[in-house]
Amino acid sequence: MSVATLDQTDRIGVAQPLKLLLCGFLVLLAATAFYFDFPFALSGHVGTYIGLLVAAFLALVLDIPFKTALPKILFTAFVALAVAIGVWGGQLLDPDMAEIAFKIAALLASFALLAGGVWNAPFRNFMSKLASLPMMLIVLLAFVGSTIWTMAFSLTNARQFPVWHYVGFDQYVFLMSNERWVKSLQNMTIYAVCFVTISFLLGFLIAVMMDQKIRLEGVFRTIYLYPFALSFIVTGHVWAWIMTPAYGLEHSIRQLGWTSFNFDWLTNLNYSIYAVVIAGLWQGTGLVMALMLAGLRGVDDEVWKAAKIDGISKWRTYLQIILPMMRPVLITTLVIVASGAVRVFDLVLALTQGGPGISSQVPAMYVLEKEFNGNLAGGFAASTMMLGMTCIVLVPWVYVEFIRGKGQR
Amino acid sequence: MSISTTTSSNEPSGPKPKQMFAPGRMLVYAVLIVTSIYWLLPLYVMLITSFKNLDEIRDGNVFIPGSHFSFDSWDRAWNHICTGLNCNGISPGFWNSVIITVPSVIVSIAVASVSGYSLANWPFRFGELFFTILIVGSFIPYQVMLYPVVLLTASLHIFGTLYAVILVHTIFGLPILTLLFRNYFASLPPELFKAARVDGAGFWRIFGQVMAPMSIPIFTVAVILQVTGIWNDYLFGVVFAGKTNYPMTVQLNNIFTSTMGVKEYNVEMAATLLTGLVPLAIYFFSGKYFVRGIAAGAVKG
Repeated sequence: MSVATLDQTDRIGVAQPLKLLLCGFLVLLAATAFYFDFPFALSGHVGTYIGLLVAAFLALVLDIPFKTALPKILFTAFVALAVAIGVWGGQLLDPDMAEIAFKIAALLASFALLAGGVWNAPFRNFMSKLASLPMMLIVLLAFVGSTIWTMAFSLTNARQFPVWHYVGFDQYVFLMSNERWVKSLQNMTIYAVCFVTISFLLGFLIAVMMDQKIRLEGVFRTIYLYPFALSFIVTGHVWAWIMTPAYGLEHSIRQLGWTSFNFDWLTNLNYSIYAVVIAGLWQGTGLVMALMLAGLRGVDDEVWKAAKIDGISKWRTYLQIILPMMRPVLITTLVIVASGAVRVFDLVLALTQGGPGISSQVPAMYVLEKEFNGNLAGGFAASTMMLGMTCIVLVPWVYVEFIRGKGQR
Repeated sequence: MSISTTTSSNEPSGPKPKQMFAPGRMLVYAVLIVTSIYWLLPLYVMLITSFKNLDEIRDGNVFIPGSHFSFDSWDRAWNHICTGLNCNGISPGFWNSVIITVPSVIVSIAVASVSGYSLANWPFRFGELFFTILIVGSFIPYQVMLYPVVLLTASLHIFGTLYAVILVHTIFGLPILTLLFRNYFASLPPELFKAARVDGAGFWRIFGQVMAPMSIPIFTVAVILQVTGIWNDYLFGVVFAGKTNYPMTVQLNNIFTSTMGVKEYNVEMAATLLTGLVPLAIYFFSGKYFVRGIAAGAVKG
């Protein structure tokens, strides 16, 4: 990109006062890490974690790979010391002492940055870095930091408060023997498989139909897509109403004369998760359709002409030529839809509340219930497993999109 | 559409547009119409149920409109139905949602547009790495990050307040919005940016006077994306907002879980419809931008 080349020549000379200002800012950050007022005993863990993240963050912003040796040594030393003290503090029984240790660790971590950063900062595109500060902090604290934190604390036996007491994989062992969790996993798998399969088939079918140069295309698209604008809570309650046996579909069909008609999925132990699938499909298929339609429209006209010349029928062209060409769209859609299926929550909450019994429980519900009812570590372990399931979908995609793709460019 | 102009209606001569009646075409329209009915059914049921009275609901058919027509249940849903402990309807939830949505949209778009602009036009070391983490991170289930973010807001003393919800929506809206803005700014001709640099404009001046004015469409897309997203949110509202600030979705759910005695299905449906009304209105009035917003999520970063 031409913008990137611009960057090379774009060293903005930063005045000394600005440098000083940055130093002041760093000290301020270190101080915040130190004096953070934590709500829980031993939450100095959070301090360490914030300190380390701030350290890592500043290291990145200030363009560390160092050019000279001294900052490099200082940086490494400070970080190592911070981690060591943090770990040591975790072993202390006296919470006050431990907290102090953690705060010292946090402070050292921040110093590491001072040591490493300022002496080496090229200050290139400085304002850009400053403006991206919120974004970078969010990435480090909310996305990377929080994920690591949750994974780490899933190895403890924390209950009401996030106290560090390492117990290894006990929580996971317990989870796998927990009937409700196993049921949640099964349900999530059923939901994901059914939802992905049906929404892809239906979405592709409708997208192909929409691609036939039909009249009123806009109207149809509006109809298929409007549920996607609605909240899962709204979706859940509407479908709950329609599927209520006593008043909804079952009642209405029976009233019309078919008295043996049965549709009690909502209240049936074996089928309640399929009721969730029905509502989910109504909400999400429009999205799949829209993405596939965009993919279909992106196919070059020449392909169609070539297929026509070769005398290949329309439907075979769609299935054997167009569909393979749409692979990137299909993969992206799959990732979006499947990762959405892993975190399905509001829909089940509104539709069945996980019932009847535990028959339509999903992992996300389990996590929230544990975390906010005094079994923190159990919730963390469950959510880490959710993350694992997302990774099953995500890792191949990241590999294709970001790693292998980069090499090809 | 250019397609519809091929069949001219006022000219009887020439070949008949036989396409319309070919069996293949009929099948296409049949599939589209049948599926459309499935998609429209819930909206229709919601609407007619909210106008029925309870007797008609008990005895009648869920798909057939009642004979009597009144806005009573809408009035009850808005002003009187119990949402948890309070019984003054869903209107407080509506206003809470407005109070949450407006600042959240503004803050999240401000942060994301500047980040996208930085990434696209002022690249810096590891900027792309942050961006990649952000995009991958957007697929991580919220439940994984929820509790640490609770701790974070608690240590900032904003847990259970409006600020916490604003912060959380800014955090979790950031990936998609940054992607949206970064890709848009990167697609603008680089000559514009260079010209502004040559003229001596700095980071903020280029953003404010060159980039932002050219980006009204993408800002519109972002606003629509965020307004519907934040309005429809349940999880963050129930965890971070605190009892006095519960948004409309949470209060709607409370109506269903807390109703004692006789269940007023018509009022519940009216409340459901009211909750869906804002995003629906946005969707119907801004169809193209809405579609563009969701399509942006699927476009590779």
